[in-house]
Amino acid sequence: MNNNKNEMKLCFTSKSSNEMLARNAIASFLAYLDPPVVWLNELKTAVSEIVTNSIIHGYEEDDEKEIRMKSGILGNKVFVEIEDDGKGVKMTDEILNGEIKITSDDKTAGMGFKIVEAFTSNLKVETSENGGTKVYFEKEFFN
Amino acid sequence: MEKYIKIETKNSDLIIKLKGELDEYICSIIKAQIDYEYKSNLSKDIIFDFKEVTFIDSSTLGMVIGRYKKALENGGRVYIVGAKNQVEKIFEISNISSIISRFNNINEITRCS
Repeated sequence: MNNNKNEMKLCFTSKSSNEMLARNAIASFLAYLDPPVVWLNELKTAVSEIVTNSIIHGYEEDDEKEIRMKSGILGNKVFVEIEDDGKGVKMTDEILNGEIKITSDDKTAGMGFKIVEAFTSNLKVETSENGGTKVYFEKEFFN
Repeated sequence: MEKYIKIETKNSDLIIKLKGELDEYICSIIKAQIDYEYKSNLSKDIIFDFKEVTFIDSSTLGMVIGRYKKALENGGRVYIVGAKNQVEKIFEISNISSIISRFNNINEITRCS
């Protein structure tokens, strides 16, 4: 019986050094599928962008908070959900369609969501009334 | 941080040879080193060599632009060489070429005055 459902959850401290943990975790989770390098790099980049957003913007570099990452396989795609309890985000057109400028921020250049959108599909960003951000996206399989 | 960065000088150029995966964590560490070398060598232009870099994200873009701003204050310019694969893709999506010139390798750089 071919069951294409599979899921993992990972909680980690909001330290910058855990950005590579998040990238490697998603790669490890999907390793058994032997994904093409290009496809996997795109997914890792999206994960890196969102986790970095949580650390830098959500938690404003407070490195003692928690970030929660969930990933799963649904049929022919993988989904990722990254959640924090930080500041929350107001999605503006400028954030979604970032343009690189000389005034761009030293830490993130304002391009995070544009890159995530280029590499994933069905991007959803939720901020609750008490703050916190949940980012969800999917990526269809490579076969 | 030799695993990620090697800095050389040539005349008034600061040549930054980068390697590996450059996320926000790594960039936050190496940019202090870059700024220090730029100042203490009295450099003018900065060349970022991405030939051996396998991964970047928007924080790397931020680091390059931050150095660009510093170089501009000094009458200098920033050039990017050697980007390929995922790195090339991020540079394309971000359209960083609209503010920083990119070349395949160092020999091909044509200086802006």
